[in-house]
Amino acid sequence: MKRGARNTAASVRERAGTAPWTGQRIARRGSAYIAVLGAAMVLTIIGLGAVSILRAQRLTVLSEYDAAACRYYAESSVEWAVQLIAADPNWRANRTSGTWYAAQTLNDSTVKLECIDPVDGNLSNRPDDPLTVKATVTRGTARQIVQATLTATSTPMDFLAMAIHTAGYLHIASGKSLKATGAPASTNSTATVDAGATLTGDLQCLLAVNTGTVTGTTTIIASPKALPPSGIVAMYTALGTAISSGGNFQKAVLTPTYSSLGTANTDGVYVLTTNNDITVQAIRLEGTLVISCPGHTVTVDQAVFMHNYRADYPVLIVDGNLILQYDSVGTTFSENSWSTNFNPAGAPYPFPGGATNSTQTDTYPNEIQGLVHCRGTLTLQSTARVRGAIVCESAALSNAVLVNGTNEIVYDPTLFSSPPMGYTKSVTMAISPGSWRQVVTP
Amino acid sequence: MIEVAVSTVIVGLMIGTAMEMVGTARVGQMWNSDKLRALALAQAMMGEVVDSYYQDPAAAIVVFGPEAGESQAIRTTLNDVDDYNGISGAPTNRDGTAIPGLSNWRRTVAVAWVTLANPNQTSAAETGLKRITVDVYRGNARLAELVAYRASGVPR
Repeated sequence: MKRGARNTAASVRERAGTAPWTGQRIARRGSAYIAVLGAAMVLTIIGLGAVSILRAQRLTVLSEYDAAACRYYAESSVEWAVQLIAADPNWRANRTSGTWYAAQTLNDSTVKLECIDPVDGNLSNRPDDPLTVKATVTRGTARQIVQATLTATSTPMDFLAMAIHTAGYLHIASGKSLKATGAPASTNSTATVDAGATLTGDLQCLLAVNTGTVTGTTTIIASPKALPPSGIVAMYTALGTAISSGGNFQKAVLTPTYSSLGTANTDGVYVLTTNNDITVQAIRLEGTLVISCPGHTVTVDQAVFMHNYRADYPVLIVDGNLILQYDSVGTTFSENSWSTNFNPAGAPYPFPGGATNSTQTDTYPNEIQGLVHCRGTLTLQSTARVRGAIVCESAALSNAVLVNGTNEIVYDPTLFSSPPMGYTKSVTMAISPGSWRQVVTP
Repeated sequence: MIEVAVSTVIVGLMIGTAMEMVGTARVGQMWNSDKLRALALAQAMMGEVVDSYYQDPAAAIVVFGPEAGESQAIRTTLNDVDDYNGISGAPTNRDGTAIPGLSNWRRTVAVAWVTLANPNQTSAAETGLKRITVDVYRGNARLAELVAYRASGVPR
């Protein structure tokens, strides 16, 4: 099209300075400014948007960088806590459950390290309680929280591989017998099986003076087996609930959910302290009984049923001398004989999933099941039977352990594979597999 | 005529500013990209180191640094944390092959014993806790630094 040919109605109106919709003249002066400024504004907005996006990207990169750095610090802080524990054998006594470091600077980050006993918030009361380690690390605007659980791995004391062990003289009297099933009878000292006496099982001792019968192998040990640490009675005493017998201790039911003598202990640990000799009979225990009577004698007589509630606790600790003379073979532990209901509400038998009732017609095994720990001398009489193991700390050169009946110890190997708390050579804390996790806070 | 001149100036300014913005954006994008690449390189190296044993489990003579038969150039031969101490050079794969396009880059690793009471403080003697520092540079500019600790009490 030729230039001169653009003579349309619109161009005519434009030249005439009129608009078709108003009929008024449009001012042309300054319109270029408006167009340019409009374009500048659009470009400025686009530019500012681009700068904002770039800034946001930079912040994202920095925050990703900070988050990565934080994560390493957080995981490292858990390792640091593990090493703090490994380096201090008395860490449970030297530290408390809670914040170990509130704001420890690690290079350009800040670490809060919390180590908490998730069981009861008390590090020192039990050597095997787990530990939750939580590290919170902040760096810039990033924050990472990592948590892991440390569990105890115990090395059992050697005597836990024995059916019965004593530091002192082990003596099976003439005409009497001890059947040690599943593990040897053991002493750090001399063992004597009198003429006419029988040890059914193996024997480990420093010196054997046997004129009677040992059906198994006699092994002369090269070194003595260590005994339980001295603080173990105090440890279990602190965990327990004090009870009072008011004389001989009989016709009582003690479980983690029921105590005929007062308040129940949730772990089933009960502590009886006396300054006299005491006889224990007709007791149903689902837990741990600690009897403290240094220099005195506890006689477990006639019929009892004692079983540890927690697998990692012993069943009976006696700080004194102990005589086991209940009759596992000839006497049934029956409610009727003692005119007592031993499975009332709260004390089902078997525990905890068994039955309760209000009758006096039930019967129970007449035996002790679990680890029996005696700090004084031990005498086995009648037909007392223990399913578990016995350790007797007495180093007496005369009858530290005297077998004066027809007794049996049926060894429980789980005592060695999963030793009771405190009966260990060492306890190491290690991160439980699968317990690492990142904590997300709201 | 005046309008045209002023508009031309304004448009010129706009174009100048726009070009500067484009340049800044390009530099910013490069920085972001380099920073992320540096972080990835640092994480790759740190991952190798923290997955290693705290101390050589097999060597007859254990030293701080690579034991006999181990080479930092071929990191598949390394097995414990302090074997990585002193690595410095262009980033390579674990088998020693070069990573293309990173000739101007450098990655360093420093390992040191630190005290348990204050992990910021190095120790001349074994403490059971090692600090690992991985730095990544492009030219002389350090773009990433990651720090981690390994404890002897945490087995791998």
